[in-house]
Amino acid sequence: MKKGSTLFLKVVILLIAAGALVWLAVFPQLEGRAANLDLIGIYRDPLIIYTYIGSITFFAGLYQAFKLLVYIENNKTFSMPSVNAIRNIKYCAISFGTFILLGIAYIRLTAVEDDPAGVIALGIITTFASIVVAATAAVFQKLLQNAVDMKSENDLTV
Amino acid sequence: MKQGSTLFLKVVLVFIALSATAVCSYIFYDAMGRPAEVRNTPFLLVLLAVVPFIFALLQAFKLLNYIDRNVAFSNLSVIALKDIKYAAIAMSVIFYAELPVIFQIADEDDAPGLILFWTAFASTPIVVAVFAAVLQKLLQHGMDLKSENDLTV
Repeated sequence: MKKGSTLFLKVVILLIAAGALVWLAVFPQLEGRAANLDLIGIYRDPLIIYTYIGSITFFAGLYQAFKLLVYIENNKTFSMPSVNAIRNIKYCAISFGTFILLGIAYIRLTAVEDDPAGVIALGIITTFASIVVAATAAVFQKLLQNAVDMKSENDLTV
Repeated sequence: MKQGSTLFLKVVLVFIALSATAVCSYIFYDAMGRPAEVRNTPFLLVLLAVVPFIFALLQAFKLLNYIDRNVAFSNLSVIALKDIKYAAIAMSVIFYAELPVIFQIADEDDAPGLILFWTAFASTPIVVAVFAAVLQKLLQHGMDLKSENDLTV
């Protein structure tokens, strides 16, 4: 049964990654500050490029989560690789949140025409969500570390 | 340091519980102020989903307490995760039961995207339930490890 659960979660991760990719590629054309430029002009906008770089942390976090699920499937949950995977998820979440925060600060300081309140609220909520993810990953990292120590104590006891 | 992380998560849980209550009260209050036919639609039944939601938040709070007191790998936390799993499934069932009503509303307002949005929204608790199930199996493993540890002379 665990195999089914981890497979389901893997599919969910892939769906989220696909959806995020589609959203990133399509959204700049729909609306926002660069909507009225030509095709190349939209994607050359520095804020859009900044978002794309920030999304790398997001996808890196998803990749680490995927790897963690693979470890769980192979019964290597209580091992150093999975502790490292969770630690990486934590760092990805923190850097993703920082990216968003800096972007929001930039928008707040330089917005002139439109009222940026909606974007700022969305950015604050996203930053908050990634901080929660980082805290949860930290708690699980401690738990896994405990279990790994227990396991090595077990294995080394003659 | 773990104490700080769990304390932060507990505060977040309380915050989420308060926001959920606020949102539900707003929906309820708003619906009460409208004419009779809007008031009596079965749509308001989704507010029932708040009950398993708050219950799941309570169980998560208890789980964080167990982690704090270093009894994470024990039957208590396995039971807490099982409760979270069932509460999430109950929420999903309630949301899916609302789907026919959403069909009607989407028909009247000619908003087909609403159905897709509601299906995605109703599937989110299932993801949480599966996540809780995986965690439950993990903690079970950890429990077996721990008892093996403790019983080794």
